Amino acid sequence: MKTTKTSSQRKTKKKELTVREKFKNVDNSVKSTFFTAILFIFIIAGVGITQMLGISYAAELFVQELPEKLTSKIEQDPRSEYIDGISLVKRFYAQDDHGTTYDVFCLDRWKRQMPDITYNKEASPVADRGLAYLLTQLYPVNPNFLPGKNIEEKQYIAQLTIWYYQDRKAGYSDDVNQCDTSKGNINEEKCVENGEVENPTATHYWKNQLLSTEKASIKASQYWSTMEPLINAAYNFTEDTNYGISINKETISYHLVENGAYIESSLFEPQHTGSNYTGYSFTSDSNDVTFYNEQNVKVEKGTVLTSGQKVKFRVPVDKLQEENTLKLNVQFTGSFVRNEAYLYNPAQDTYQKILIGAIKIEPKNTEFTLVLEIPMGSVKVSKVDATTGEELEGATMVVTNKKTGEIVDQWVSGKEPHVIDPIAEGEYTLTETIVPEGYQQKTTSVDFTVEKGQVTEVEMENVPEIPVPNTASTIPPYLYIIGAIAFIIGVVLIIVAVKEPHHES
Amino acid sequence: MHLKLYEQEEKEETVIDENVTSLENIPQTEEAPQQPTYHYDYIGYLSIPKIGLRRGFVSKKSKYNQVDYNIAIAQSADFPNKEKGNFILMGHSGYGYNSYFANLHQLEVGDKASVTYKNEKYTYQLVRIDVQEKTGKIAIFRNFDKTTLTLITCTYQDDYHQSIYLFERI
Repeated sequence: MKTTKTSSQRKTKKKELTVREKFKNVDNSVKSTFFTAILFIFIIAGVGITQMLGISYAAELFVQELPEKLTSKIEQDPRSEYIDGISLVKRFYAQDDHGTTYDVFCLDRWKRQMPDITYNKEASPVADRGLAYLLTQLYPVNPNFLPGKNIEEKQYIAQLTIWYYQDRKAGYSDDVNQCDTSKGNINEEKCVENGEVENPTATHYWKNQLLSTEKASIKASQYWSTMEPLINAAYNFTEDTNYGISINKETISYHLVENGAYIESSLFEPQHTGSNYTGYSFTSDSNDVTFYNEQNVKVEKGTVLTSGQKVKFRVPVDKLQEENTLKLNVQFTGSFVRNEAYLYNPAQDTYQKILIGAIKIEPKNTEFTLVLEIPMGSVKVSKVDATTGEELEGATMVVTNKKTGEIVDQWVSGKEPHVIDPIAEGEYTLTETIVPEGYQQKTTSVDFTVEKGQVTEVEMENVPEIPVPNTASTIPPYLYIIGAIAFIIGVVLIIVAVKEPHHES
Repeated sequence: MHLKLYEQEEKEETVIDENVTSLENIPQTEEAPQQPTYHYDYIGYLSIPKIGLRRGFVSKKSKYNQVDYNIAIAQSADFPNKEKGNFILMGHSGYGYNSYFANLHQLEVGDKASVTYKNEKYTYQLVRIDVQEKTGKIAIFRNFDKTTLTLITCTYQDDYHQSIYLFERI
């Protein structure tokens, strides 16, 4: 017997199908979400494992040490071709034993570029200072090279810049391809004797790194405006290697401190010649000398001070090594740095040399010995009343070094002359800054000279003031009174005369 | 008798101290014009021919040793007969009847002045003119190895400064 469904039963069945479909959809969503999460977890784990294995990128590119050995790595595809006709591998880099990677540049374009080749650092840095300079201007050493461009593009242009510089340095014309007939070729293509080749696109042993057609493309590209000045600067680069420091003794003055117990110098620092000066340090054979910075904080011998930081020294007066002469030797060391670039060589000559994309900082030191022999004398200062010749108390006096302006001593005059002993030979100025009450200065300052072993006597006079009356012309007050009375009398008489009746007059 | 008494009284009035000299008894020189005579007991006089000045000065102790009456000797002054001393006279400038130093501003370095004192005449030459603020005190900058004469008065047409005329004896 055939069973027929009612409409309500059909609706119920339809309803059941819809729910099932919905459930299936939800199930699919959950599954896709699950798989996505799993994939994400694997990615994170992969990165984490990578970090654990120590595979890192060189964060510092001015370093004090470079690896002795590198292993080359290559990312071939997709190849980079930011300038038409010049196709390079996507990325050529190297890795040291610790997993640190370095960008590298090839210097033999026509030799093989292979991964997993061991490269050994040359013992000496690159002799070509222009190349070392160029490296400091390019990516990766210069993070501001081609701002806004991606890393692959920066590496590509940096490599082309180095090749272009190599050709310029070798004297190769941009318009001519130089055929290296001394080498055998590996592709059975040969240069003809006049330097032209039958197949210029095949691999050849060219002397120049870039072909003339490639150079033309580079010059026509947007990158030439960046590349050209760098190439010219590297080509014309000259470095001031005349490293040296010196100290002009004439600029140093001396004065007594600690109530005359010590001789102290003025603040000074060495002058330097040469590039990349970083600072200086000092030492002395004498244990009697101590050094202080501008804040009067003691500085230990051997401390490195940077350019702009000054130092002064102090010696006990009783340590004068010869009568009336202070002798002192201080050794100064000037610190400079030199940016060095290094090449790495492959085990086989068929592979190209590479230039590591990092700079090694190498210190350069120079020495200078400050030899001081300071003749000493003494000075006796009298501040006197000009009329009596006796010492005048209460004047504030200052002695300054005439050349440097440094204050050597200052005091308030008393009943006895003021003695400064010892004081370095030289020229000084004595100034009276505050005059005692009741006196006037004959002169504000006096210059004097100190000679070795001599007592220089200096005298400054003040003139006493005398009281004087007001010598302006004055009319005695009684005359004013007389005058006023006369005026009043006169006025009264006039009034009376005017008012006198006419018949009486 | 009356005449003798009068003469005796006059004699007493004129004798103040041993160095008293009245102006009438001082020989007149042709280069100086006659000044009116007063009954001050002058002990000496100052003469500056260029400006026609001839004026006596009284003793330091006299009550008339004031600029309102005469040219006054500064209390700290030496007398002209002291070697390397400084004889200091002060006087009014301006237009008053007692402005005896009114014409000092006409002097120039090199002009001469003389002081007669104790029957000796001392001649000086102007070497320096200083101007200082009027504070009631001044300082005299001179060569202490010389015998000098210093004249002090208010600076010509200036209410705030005083002029110091320094002469050295020649």
